[in-house]
Amino acid sequence: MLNFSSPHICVGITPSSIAISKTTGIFRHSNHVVAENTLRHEQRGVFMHLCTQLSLVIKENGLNNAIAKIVLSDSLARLWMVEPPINASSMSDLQAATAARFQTLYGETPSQWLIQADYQPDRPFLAVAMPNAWLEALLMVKRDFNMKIIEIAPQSVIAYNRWCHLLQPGSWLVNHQEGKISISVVDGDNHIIGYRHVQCRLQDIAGESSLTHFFRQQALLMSIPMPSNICFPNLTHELSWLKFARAGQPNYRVLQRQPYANLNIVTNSVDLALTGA
Amino acid sequence: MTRMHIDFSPQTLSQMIHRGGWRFITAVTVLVMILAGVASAIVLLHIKTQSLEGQLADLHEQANRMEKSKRKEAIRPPVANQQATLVMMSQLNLPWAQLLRTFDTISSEQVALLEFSPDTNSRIIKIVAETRNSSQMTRYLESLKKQENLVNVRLIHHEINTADKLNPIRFEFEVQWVTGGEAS
Repeated sequence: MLNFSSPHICVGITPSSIAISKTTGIFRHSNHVVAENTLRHEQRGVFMHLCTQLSLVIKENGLNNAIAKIVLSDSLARLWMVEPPINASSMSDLQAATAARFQTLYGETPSQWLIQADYQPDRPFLAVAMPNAWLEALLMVKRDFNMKIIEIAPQSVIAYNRWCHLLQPGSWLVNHQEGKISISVVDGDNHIIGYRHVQCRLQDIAGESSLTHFFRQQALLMSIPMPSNICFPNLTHELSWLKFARAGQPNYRVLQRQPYANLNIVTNSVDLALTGA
Repeated sequence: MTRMHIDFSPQTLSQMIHRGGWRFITAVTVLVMILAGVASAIVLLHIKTQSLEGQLADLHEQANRMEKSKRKEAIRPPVANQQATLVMMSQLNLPWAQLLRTFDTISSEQVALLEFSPDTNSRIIKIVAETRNSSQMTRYLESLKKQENLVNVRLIHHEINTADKLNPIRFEFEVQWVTGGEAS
């Protein structure tokens, strides 16, 4: 049944923690973090434990019947780029190419995985996979608390969809969490045509010159020119200087909404929960 | 500004509606308003069309009526013609056969009928005749008076026709004929 009075929540899930933000206000402009739970070390990375924690947090905060958006950390899903086959003539050709690429990259058959992609016949496109079992676990939580899940997607996809109206052609969209940095390359038609996932701690490259050096290196590795705009949809304290950075080459931009801008120190899961809010 | 359609949540109608939120309500409201506007426009048009059709039917009827009356007027002959026709009819309706039979029975070789002019309105016939002498004239008039269908026999004028060497008497008289036994 439709119920527009149900609370709107956004659940951020990283391998080690979960956080829930709640959106309030008639036009849902105000977000605040309701709860954050960190898993014990031995439970980290096990999705069933994450779901158990999620049930616990929902129960504690009385969020039954909530309308939820779930943002997965990029490291919980698999993201990869697919080059469309030259003679592709139908959607099934693109799907087959996506599945074949998955098998090549990860050495696994895609039968246990749920694959979705932004299928494009004429340019490289982003594909995402998450295990079937994880979706089942999330849907079980949904059933237990009579929730409505309106979106489940990884951080990079959520961030892109949220900010795509502000991205200039040729920009990079940079997401980071738990020692990993992901770069999405946007083309002139505002499609993601490149994606790169790098193991790197943010604090190691947080200075202006090292950050620029890092991105120059990534551009070289991807064999593409350095972009004019690099956008950060989430901002942690390591990069707080970006807010005051002068316009230069490249131009660093922080994409943030007001309620979020005041939070200087956020953990990864809170960051995800606020990205989707 | 193309969103990526990557979403692992089950795609249901309620999910789409909730995702839309206020935008969905606004869109539905706008759609309903548009539909209501279109519906009311259709109803108004229908009403307008019906009234116009009614007016058109009235006009057609009026036009038909006018055309009929025109046609009637066209067929009706002029008054003079009508009167002439009536006169002719009444003249044709004269009981010629009966009158002629009556005059035949009483006429003799001594009386010659010269003129016979009937007036249908007054049912009076003016007759001009000639005889040898006045006694024959009187006898003829007497015999006319005896006829059932002739009344008011009146001698108007008589004279001796000197142009004729036999000097006959030319006399003019009138009689009125009756139908159904009564004089008008």
